Amino acid sequence: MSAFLEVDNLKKHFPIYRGTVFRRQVGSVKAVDGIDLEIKTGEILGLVGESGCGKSTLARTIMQLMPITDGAVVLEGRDLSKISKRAIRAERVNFQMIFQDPYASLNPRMTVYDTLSEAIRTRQMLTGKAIVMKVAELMKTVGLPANQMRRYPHEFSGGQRQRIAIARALAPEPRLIIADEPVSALDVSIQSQILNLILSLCRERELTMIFISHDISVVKYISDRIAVMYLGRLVEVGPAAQIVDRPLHPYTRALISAVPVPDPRVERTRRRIILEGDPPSPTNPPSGCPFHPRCSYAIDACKEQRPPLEEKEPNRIAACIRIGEI
Amino acid sequence: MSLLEVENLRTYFYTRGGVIRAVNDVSFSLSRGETLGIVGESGSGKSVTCYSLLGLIPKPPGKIVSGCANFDGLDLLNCRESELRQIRGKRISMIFQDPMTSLNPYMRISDQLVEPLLVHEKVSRSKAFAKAVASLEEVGIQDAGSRINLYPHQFSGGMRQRVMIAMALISRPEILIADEPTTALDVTVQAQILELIKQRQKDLGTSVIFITHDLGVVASFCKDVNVMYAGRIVESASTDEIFVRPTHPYNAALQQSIPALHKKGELLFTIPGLPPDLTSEIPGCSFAPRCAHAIERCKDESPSLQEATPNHRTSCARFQRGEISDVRISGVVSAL
Repeated sequence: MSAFLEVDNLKKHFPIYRGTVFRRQVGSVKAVDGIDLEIKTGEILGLVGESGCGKSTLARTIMQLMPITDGAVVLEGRDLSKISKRAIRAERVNFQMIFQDPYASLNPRMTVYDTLSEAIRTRQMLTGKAIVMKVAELMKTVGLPANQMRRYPHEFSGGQRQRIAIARALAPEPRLIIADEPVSALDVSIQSQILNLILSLCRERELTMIFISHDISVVKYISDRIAVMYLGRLVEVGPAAQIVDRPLHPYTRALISAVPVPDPRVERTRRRIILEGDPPSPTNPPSGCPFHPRCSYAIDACKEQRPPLEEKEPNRIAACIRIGEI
Repeated sequence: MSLLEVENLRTYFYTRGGVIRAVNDVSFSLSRGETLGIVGESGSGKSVTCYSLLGLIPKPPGKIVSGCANFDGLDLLNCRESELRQIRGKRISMIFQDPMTSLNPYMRISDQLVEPLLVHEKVSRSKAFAKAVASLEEVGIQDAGSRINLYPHQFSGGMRQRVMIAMALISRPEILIADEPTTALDVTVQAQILELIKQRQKDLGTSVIFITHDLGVVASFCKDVNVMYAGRIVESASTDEIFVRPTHPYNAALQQSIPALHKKGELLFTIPGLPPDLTSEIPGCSFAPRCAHAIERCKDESPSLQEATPNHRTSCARFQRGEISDVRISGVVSAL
C-alpha cells in the first residue's frame, strides 16, 4: 500500500524584487527547498524546527494555501498541485488546518453555530434540526457545552477558542489535519487539555496529522515520528522516542540538549551543547550542508556538498556525512 | 541578610469591569547574589509584582493598595519618584520579554546604551561610549566597535536580547529583574542567553529575579522559586524542594501536566477548569475549584503562606494541617 500523503521534492521559493521602474528579481528566499515526506494513514508526524526554518510554509504549501514552486503533493494517489483551484475547493473537505492563534483564526462576527454549521455544509447539505444536532455533537466531541453554540468567540477563553477551532477542522470530516503550533499560544495548564484532546481525537477517528511546533517536548508527546527541519530542508526523520533519546544529526543533538528539563536533578547531569550564532538567512544559505557554520563536527567536505538525506539506521534517515564517525 | 524584602504587596487595578486584584498579599525576600524564579501562568501576577517594585504600574488604573519593599533602607513602594529614579536603571534594572518592542527603533544602539550612564553617572560622552562598547563585548557581540552604531532592526532577536542585557547591566545593578527574557526566542538561542545571564551574574555578583512560565527554565536556572497563582504566592522553596517535594496541589498538578522530554507516558494529566476571574473576591483558596484534594473547608477558609516543612512555605491549608502528605495526583483523569 502506498503512503496516504506523499510530498515529493517540494519547493517554495519567494522571489525578492528590486527597483520600481526596472523591476527585476535579485534573488529568492528558499523557504522550502526540496522536501520529501511520506505519511501513513493514522500517523501523527511531528515537525520541529526554529522560527524561520520553513515549517509553516511547508504546511501552507501542502494545504494548497499558496502555489508551489516545484514538486508534488500527492494525497491518496491524487496530485493536489496539478488539479484546478475549483477541484481543490471540493477536495479540501479531506484536509483541514488548525492555526496557532485562536484569537485570529475565528471570525469574531460569527457565533460558534455559524462557524461550525458553515464548515459542516461543505461536506453535507443539512438544514434545520439536523444541523443543530450535528453542531451540538461536534461541540460535545471537543468538550464544550452545546448550549453555548449561540455565543461569539470573544465570550470564550483561549483554550475554549482553540477547541472551537478544532471542532471547525473536524466538521467536514477530514482525513488529514495539519496543526500549526496549536498549543503555543496557550498556558501550560490549558496546553495539556488541548494536547490530550487532539491525541484522543486522532486515535478515535484514525486521523492523519502533521503537528508543527517549536517545542520538542510537546512534539515528542504527541507524535509517532518526528521530522526535524533546518533552513528549508529536512535534516532528520525517525520514530519520536528514538529521535529524542538518541538523535543522530548534530543539529538535532544541539536542539534537544538546549531544551531545559523541568527537573533540577536531571538538569544537573545534562550537558548542554551551546550553538554559536543565529540560524543563517534563507536568502543566502551557506554552501554545502546548511548547518556547517554552526556545527562543531564540520569538516572541509561539509562546506562543499549538500549531504543527502539517507537511511543511516533502520527507519531513521538523516542528512549528515559524518554520522558514522561522530 | 536579604537585599530586598517585600511584604504584603497588593496591587489592584480599578477598571470599569471591577477591581482586578492582580497581586494579592505577596511577601518574599531576595538575598545578595541569589537567583529567584517566579513562575506562574499568564495573569498570575508575576510581572505586576516586579513592575510594582520599580514604580512601573500605570496609575490609574493601577494602585498599590498596601505593602512595603525594603531595599537597602528605602521603601520602594512608598518613596518619592525622584528617589525611585535614582534606583531604577542603576541599582535595579530590568530586561523585558520582547527585545523588539523594548528597544527604541529610532535610536542607534550606541545612544540607547549610553543614556543610562549619562543619566546616572557623571561621565563624559566619550567615556560613556567606550564603556558601552566594552559592555557589548562582554555580552558576546563581536565587532562591537562598529556594530554599536547600528539600529535595533539590524540585529537578530537573540542579538537584540544581548543588547538589552548589556544595557541593563551597564550600570552594574545590584538586582536584575528579567521578565520572560527568553520566551520570544528559539531554544538554541534561549540556551545561549541563559548561559550569558548566568555568566554575567557570576562576574558582577548581581541578584536576579527571573520571571517565567517555563518550569524547565526554572529547573536549570534558579536557586529558589516562588510559584504564583491568581495573584498570590502559593508555594515558595528552593528549586530542588519545589520539584522533588511539592507541597501545593497547584505546583504538583502543573508539573504533572507538562510533557517532559525525559518522561514517557500516555495521556497527560490535566488541571480541569480555568484560572479564576480576579475581579471577584475569592473567599477561600483560589485554586480550590480546580484542586483534586479540595474539601468544603478550602472554599471558605482564607489560606496563608506558611512554613510547613523546613525552608519550604506553602499556602495549602490541608498540607499545613498534615491532612495530606503527598499533593501529587495518582492516575490520570479523562481526556476531555
